[in-house]
Amino acid sequence: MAATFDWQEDTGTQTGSPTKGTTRTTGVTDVNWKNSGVQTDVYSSFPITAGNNSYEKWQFGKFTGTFNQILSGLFAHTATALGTGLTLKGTPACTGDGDRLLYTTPATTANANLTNDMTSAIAIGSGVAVFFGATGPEATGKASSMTTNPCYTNFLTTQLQTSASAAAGDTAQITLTLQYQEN
Amino acid sequence: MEEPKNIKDIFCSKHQAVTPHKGSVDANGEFLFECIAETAETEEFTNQVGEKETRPVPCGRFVKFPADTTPEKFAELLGKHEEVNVGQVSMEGQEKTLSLLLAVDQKASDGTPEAPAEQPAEETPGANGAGGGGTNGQA
Repeated sequence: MAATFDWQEDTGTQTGSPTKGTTRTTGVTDVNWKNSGVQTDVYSSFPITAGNNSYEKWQFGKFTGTFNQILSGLFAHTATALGTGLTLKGTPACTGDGDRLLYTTPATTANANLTNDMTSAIAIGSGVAVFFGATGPEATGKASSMTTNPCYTNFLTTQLQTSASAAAGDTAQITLTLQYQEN
Repeated sequence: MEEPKNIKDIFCSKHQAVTPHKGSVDANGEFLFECIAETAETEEFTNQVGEKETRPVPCGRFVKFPADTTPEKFAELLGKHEEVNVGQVSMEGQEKTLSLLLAVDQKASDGTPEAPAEQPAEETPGANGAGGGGTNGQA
């Protein structure tokens, strides 16, 4: 048996303490940065004008199924280059419970907390550390390994920022990887 | 020659070094600093007399800061930017290096021994029974 993995995403107005989104979408299959904070909005109908930023994407991983422990999490942009005028910003390494990003209502303003420049594809081994915890990505008690089931990563937030030199049309399709170990 | 304006030395994630960045205020009032250092890549262009030439491709990597950034906050964010992004090893760079490694003629090198015999691979022990391996989730 093995753990079952699911990408999920929070959207909507921030609520609660610690903060999370009003809407939690399961079974997410893409990131699709766009000029909308609604998960189901089609990206082609909400393009990002050159010079503007996407809404932040507040995604995270959820583990269920059969496992003893989830550990050794890493997150990175691992394949395919982004074009000129595009910068992908992401969550910094989570190496302590206090490092986890707290949800804020998605917006198109440049998020200064996303200090990790994820524009270049890098080896997953040099990705940022990811912590795990119970209850949800927003909850306190994140640690480098976790035995609770279900188990969640911290928020793996990203935002696509553009300059006026960004080309029109779709960006290249890139790969973001979350690597973890289970036992 | 006129000195370039609004230039600040900032850490560039692509160059993995501090490089000159041109600062500007974008249409949203955010502060954009774009790396203007050249890269090793070249591009072809047509000069003023219609001849084709090559020139280095400018980096173009940029860092944005929110519209409400103060000088104190800017200093803090610059420090974090370098701290978080130093040490990145791009796959693009590594693939170029790999192609250089593949082109090395070992026998032609002075004093370089033949390649050693292949070592048996070590197996990674699984921990606590089931599972053990790494798993990738992709979005």
